[in-house]
Amino acid sequence: MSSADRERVIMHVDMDAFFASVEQRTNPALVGKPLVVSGAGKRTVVTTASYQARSYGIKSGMPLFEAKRRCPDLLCVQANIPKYVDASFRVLDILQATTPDVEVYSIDEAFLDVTGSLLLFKGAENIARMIKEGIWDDLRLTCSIGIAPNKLLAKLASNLEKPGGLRIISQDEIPSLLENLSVEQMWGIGPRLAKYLNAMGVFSCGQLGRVPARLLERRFGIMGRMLHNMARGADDSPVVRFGTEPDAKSMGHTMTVQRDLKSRKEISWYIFLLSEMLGRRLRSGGYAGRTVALTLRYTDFHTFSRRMTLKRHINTGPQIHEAAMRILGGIRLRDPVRLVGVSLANLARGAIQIPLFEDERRKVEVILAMDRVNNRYGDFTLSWGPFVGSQMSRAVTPRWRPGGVKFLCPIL
Amino acid sequence: MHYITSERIQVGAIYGGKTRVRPVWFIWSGKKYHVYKVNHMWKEGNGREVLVFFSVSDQANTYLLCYNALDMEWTICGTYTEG
Repeated sequence: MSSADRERVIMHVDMDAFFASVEQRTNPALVGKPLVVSGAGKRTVVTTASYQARSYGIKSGMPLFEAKRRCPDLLCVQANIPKYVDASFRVLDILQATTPDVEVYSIDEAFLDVTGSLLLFKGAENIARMIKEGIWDDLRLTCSIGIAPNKLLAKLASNLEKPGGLRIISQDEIPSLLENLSVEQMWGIGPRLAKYLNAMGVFSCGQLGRVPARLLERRFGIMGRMLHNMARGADDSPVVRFGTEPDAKSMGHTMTVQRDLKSRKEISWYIFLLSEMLGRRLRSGGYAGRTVALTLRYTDFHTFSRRMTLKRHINTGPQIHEAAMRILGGIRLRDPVRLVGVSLANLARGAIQIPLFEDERRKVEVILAMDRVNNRYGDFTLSWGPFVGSQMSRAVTPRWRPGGVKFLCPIL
Repeated sequence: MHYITSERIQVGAIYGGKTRVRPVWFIWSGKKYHVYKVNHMWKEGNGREVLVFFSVSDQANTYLLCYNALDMEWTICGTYTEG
């Protein structure tokens, strides 16, 4: 245990079935019923399930048809992201009233370093109760809160008492709690990694902690040292205050299409759409990137990515599209495609140079003029010919954070 | 949710207080509905337009109202059903 851990009091706030709860709040007829929030279209997956739906074994990421098979009376609501974003910001306001050190981890999760607020608000437990009351008063939503000496254990604590719980893990309790805790329960250990560990005869965190760090490093590389620390409940990572997050390393969008794409022309349309969404997001953050990656998924779910690094930074839809199409040109497609993704890495701010030639300069000016129109009248008000007539709706990734992803995509 | 094409409606609202604006009644197709409860409200921005949505219930049903802060105009967008 590091000395920093001994001094810190970290809180993890996790909204309970956030999207589903907001929908139940909006429509009282849904309260107490098995409900899932999902995307648009027939091939969508469950984004969030209410606790009533979870009792049927329905969980996030499950195809909607499978969820309906498990619970024929299941109610489905199409996700309304702006509604959840608004609620997320209201929760953030409540959290920031207790400490400025709030890290927004996702749309429905946050870490707080309340070490400096303990005296003011008479203890961590009191702060947690204030937060719960504040969220209930304003939004009639519940959350689970974990309190511990670091982020790793705070996250574990909130998961131990869901929904609506408040769990404190004290310094003294850590060894006994971790001794018999299965490795899958630890934040950062997924089913695949757990399977590897189980194959080594390691099932609990206590067992993992007794495996020599050098052995884990040999087996898992850098991750081995992290696993060793995690098993002992050690985590020095700081709470990164909202608004001071480091610059993004990459940005991208993926889209599962409603019907399989059989021709390159169809795939090109989606690549262009994703490139345009990505370009707009990059420019709004002042970013440009050099490494373009194209991700495709066949109908048998085989997924692969190919990338290409350019000589100069780019950040417009047509530029990204052109590079991604060059990547596509080098791929021999063996099956129809059900998912397309475009991303840009090697990001830098202020890396775009003013073009030397008149033609290029005018292209940039057109893009900037389009941005000004779209900033004023909304995304895709002014766009490229291929998108004319497409009905647009907002979309978001589950990893959304305030100030992060916000874009429109067509309903197809 | 049963969506209807947004119809302009007359709304009696209280401005100020914690929620800044709260509809208390609305007239839709010649009938006056008294808002018994505001279930939830949220804002959506697209460009410079800001829309404030209100899920409101009278004694029987739940409705979705929308206030366009730019045009200062109220519309009804739909009625809520199960799923």
